[in-house]
Amino acid sequence: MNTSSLNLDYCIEKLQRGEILPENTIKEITDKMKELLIGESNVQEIRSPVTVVGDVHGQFYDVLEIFKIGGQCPNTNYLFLGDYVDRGYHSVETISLLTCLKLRYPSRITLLRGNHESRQITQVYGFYGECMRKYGNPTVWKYFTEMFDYLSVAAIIDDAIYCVHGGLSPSAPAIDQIKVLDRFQEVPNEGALSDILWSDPDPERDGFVESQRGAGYSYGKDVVMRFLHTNKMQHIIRAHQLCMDGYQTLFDNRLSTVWSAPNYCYRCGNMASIVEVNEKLERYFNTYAAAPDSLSNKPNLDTNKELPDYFL
Amino acid sequence: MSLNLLTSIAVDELPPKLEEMVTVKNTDSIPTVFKTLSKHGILSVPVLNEQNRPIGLVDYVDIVNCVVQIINHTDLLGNDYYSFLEREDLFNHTYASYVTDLSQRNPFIPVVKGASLLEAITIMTKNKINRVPVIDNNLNGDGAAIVNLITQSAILSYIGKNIESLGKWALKPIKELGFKEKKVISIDFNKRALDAFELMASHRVNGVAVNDEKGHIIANISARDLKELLNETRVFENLYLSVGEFISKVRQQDYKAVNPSISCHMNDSLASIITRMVAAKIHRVYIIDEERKPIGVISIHDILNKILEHINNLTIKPMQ
Repeated sequence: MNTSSLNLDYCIEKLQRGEILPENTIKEITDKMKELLIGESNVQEIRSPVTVVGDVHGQFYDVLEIFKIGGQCPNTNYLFLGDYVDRGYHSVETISLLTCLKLRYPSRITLLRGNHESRQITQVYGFYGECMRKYGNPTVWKYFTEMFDYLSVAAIIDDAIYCVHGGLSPSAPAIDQIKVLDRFQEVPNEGALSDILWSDPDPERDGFVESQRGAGYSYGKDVVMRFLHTNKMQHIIRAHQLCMDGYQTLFDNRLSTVWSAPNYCYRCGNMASIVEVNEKLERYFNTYAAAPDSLSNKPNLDTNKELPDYFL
Repeated sequence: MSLNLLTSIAVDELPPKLEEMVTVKNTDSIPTVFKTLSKHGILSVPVLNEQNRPIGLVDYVDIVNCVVQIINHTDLLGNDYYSFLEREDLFNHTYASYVTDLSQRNPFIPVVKGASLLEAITIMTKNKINRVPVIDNNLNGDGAAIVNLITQSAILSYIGKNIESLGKWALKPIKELGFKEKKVISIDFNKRALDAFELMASHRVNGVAVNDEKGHIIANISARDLKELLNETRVFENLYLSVGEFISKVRQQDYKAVNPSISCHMNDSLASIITRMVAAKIHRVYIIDEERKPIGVISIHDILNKILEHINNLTIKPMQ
C-alpha cells in the first residue's frame, strides 16, 4: 500500500495534543478513508473481544479518556456506533482522530454511521459551524460529510450480537435486507437506511410507531424478539439515546443502549459508558464521568466579542 | 365516517383537558407574558382586562411582530451594545394590551361550550385562525369566561389518533387530493435571523423554510423558535446571528436530536403525513422534490380545510 507523504502516526500524535490537521491533510485522510470503506460491507462482521462505544458528539477530551479507560487502540479492539460530531466543541478533532486511527489500524477499529453523520443534521447541530470557525470555509465539512456516506451501518460480533446506531426498521426485518441497501448516499428522510440510524426502542408500546423525532420509528419488545429470532441473534447493542447512568438494558436484557458522552452538552450531568464484550460474549459496562480536561477546554463562543464584561 | 368523528365530540371534551385556564393581564409586560407561555409550554394565551374579561389572545407571532416593529423603529440606533440595551428596554416596557393580536392574525373568535369539533374547525378555517377559545356563559352569572383554548394541533392530534375514520380517501397520494406545488417562502441560512422573522411578519406566515446556498432545505424556522432565545438577556443580539447559527442554537437546547426539516413528497398519503406531524408535534411540513428543494408546504390549516372540503363533498354526493 502506497504510504505517500501521509504520516499517520504524526497526525495521531498531533491530534492527541489537541491540534487540528491542515485542510489538505483532511483531504488526504478522507480520500484514503473512502477507498478503505468501499471494501467494507454494510454489515461488518467482527470478532470478540471488542469494546463498543456509543455517541461521543465532539467531546474530544472524553474520547481520549475512553482510550485511557478501555485501553489504547490497537491494544484494544473498538467498535464505534456513530455520532462522532455535533454538539460538543471538538467535533473536528474527534472525527479526525478516529479517521486516522481507522486508517492506521484498520482491523482494530470499526466506525459505523450515526444519524449525525449527515450533511443535513451537521448543518444544524454544530459540526458545520465548527468547521467554519476552525478553517474559515466549509471545505473540511464537505470532505467529512462525503466520507460519512461511505461508513458501514451495522456490525455483528461473533454472529451473535447485532450492533447499529439507532435500531430496527419495518422495511428491513431481515439483516440480509440491510446487507443489500445502497448506503453510499446522504441519509434519506425515510426508508430503511434512515430508520436504522434514527429509531428508538419503546418499552411501553409494541410494534412500530412513528417517532417523535420526525424520522424513524419506535419499536417495541415484540419487534425486538422477532428480529432476534428471525436473524438468529442473541442481543442488540445500540446507542442514539442519552442514558443518565451511561447505559440502559431493556427487554429481558436482550437490548442494550450505550451512551459514551458524559455530562452531555457540558451541562447534562450524566454518566457515560463503554461496553466491553469478551470472548464469551459477556458484556461489561465500564462507566465513567466527564474528563477534567473536558470542561477546562471550553472555547469562547461569543459571537459579539466587543461586549463590555462589566455589564454582564 | 369523517363527519361522525367531528360532530360526535364537543369542544370541551377535546384533550388535553386543562384544569385551570392559563391567562395573562393586559398590564403584564412582554417578558412576563412570554415567561407564562414558556413555563406552560404553550404558544398562546388569553389576555384579560381589569374586570377579568377576555379581550383577546397573544401568541408568538404577535411577539415576533412586536420585535420586528421595535427593530424597524430603532434601526437608526445601529448594532452596538447600547442600541441593544435600548431595544431591550422598549421590549421590557411593552405590555400585553399592545401586543394582543398585533399580527392581526390571532383574533378572538370563540365558540360556546358544548359546540362540536366540526363547528370549531369551520370557524378556524373560515377565519384562518389557529386556535379558538371556548367560553362558558353560565358561570355564576358573571358573564363569559374562557374555559378552554382549542388549538389546531390538538385537533390534528385527535384526528391522528382516529386516522382510520377518515377512510380510504386519506390513503391517496396528496397530489390526487388536490394539494398543489406552490412557491415556498424561504430564506438562505446565511442571512440574519432577523430577516427570517421580518419575512414571517411581512408575508403573514408562521414559518419559513431555511435553505442552503443551493436551495436545498435545511430546516424550518418559525415564530415559536423565538421562545428559546427570549430566555436569555440578549434577545436582540441573537437576532443578528445568521439564520443557520440561530437555528443551531435553538435546536441544541433539546438533548434529543430531531429531524430539523421534516418533509414529504407528492406521492405520500395524507394519512401518513398527519401521523408524522402529530408524532413530531409540528405545524407544517414541506413538500420537497428529489433534490430536497421545497416545492410546497402543507400546514395544519391546509389539512383541516381539505378535510372539511371532503366532508362537504360527501354530504353532497353520498355515493362517492
